[in-house]
Amino acid sequence: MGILADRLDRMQVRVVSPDGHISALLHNRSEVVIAFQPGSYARYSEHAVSDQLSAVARLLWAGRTREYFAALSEAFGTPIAGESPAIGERDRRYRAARDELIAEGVSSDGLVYVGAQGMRVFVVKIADGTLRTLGEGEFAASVREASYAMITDQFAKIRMLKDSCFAGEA
Amino acid sequence: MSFDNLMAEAAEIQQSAIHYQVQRGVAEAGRAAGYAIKGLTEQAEKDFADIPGLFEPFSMMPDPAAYGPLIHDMGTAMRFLSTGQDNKDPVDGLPFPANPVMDRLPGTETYIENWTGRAAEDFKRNFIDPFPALLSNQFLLGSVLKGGLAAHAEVWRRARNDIDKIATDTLAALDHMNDCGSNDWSMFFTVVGAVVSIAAVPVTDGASLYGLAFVGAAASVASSASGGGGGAERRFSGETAGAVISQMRQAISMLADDITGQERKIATAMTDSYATVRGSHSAFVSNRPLLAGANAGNVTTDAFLGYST
Repeated sequence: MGILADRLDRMQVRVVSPDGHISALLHNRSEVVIAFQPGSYARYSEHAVSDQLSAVARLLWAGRTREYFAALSEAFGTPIAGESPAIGERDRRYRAARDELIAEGVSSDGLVYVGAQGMRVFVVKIADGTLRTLGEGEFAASVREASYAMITDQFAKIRMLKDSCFAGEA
Repeated sequence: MSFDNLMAEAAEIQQSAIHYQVQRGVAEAGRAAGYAIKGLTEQAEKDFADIPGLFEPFSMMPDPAAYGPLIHDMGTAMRFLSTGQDNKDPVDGLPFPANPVMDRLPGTETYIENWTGRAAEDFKRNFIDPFPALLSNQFLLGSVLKGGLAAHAEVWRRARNDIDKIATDTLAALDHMNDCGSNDWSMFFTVVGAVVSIAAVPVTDGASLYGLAFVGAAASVASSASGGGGGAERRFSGETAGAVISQMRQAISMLADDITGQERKIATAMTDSYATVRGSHSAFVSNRPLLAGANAGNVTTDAFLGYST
């Protein structure tokens, strides 16, 4: 593994929800750990926490993207701030399809759903009654499972999309 | 990473390519992965068996620092041959002070004022008069050789950087290919601009003009130079281990061609200058002394020494 793989393995992205009550950490490439400010968990409704976690997901991925380009810059030894222009038609096709790609993940208890479209639009859904059923730690674990499943799904689908769009390249 | 670790990088690329290709095969095999992994590994090892061998010749490229003493020696020769005011190396523009010892030969004319005979006339015509021109031409020839050595050293210095960049970029591309972004990368091949051709410098033997062909290292040539100095930016892309390694093979092949191209520029200049020296020998070397053909019986005749008062 090269510099990039090492750096991605070590990457940690930390964000705080817009309301300031939920902190989140993305690490080990696809693991998300959330924590609530003391006393805040009990005050949330499913709808409110879904909104906050959707924003957290967007912030995490934006932070991850920034870190990723910093890692790419280090690995290639040149500043890289974004994707270079598409090379040819199949690259354009790939990028268009990637932006529409739907990735999804659900926790093993089925109570937390995390979805993303093109890793730009994020949706977190919490089943009614979840916050009264699960303790804070259990809920955080469900969010971790659903996030992990969504990120894994994203990369599996990216691989399939690349295989489809770039088949036969030399 | 650095050139000194090139073969270690090559081994790392090979292991990384095998790892990613097997990883992908395992993912595709699904539940049959356990049965497939041995075959997948064997296939990947076979597919990427050539990688160390591709880098090996580059790991043995000459050390550019080894050219230093040769370049220094040629500079010493040029300092010895330097005459006249504001004398400069036409390749890199470095000033060379005149060697006062070389001014003594034209001064010998006063010593032979009373010497007559054909040998005296020939000595003045063949040695004293053309001496400054011969010296200047030999100085230029020294510059041709010094520039060629410096250019060759620059080729290896840049080629080392470029092959190391190919290796590090390949490793990065392998790590990047499974992420969301398109896996393309650009490489600037610096060796392409290593050698600069310089406009031929005319030399004369008094009767005809000849051209000496110069090359120099891009890093040090004077601003009047042309025909090099930059590099070539090339873009690569690949979304599988096989495709990335294929691009790496292409990059290595391009680099080998680039090195050959730069060496050809040096070889052409050396060949052309050699032809100039061969074709205009008298512009670089004094004629054979007339007295070399004399013997005890005729050396004091008018045909040779004549007489002196």
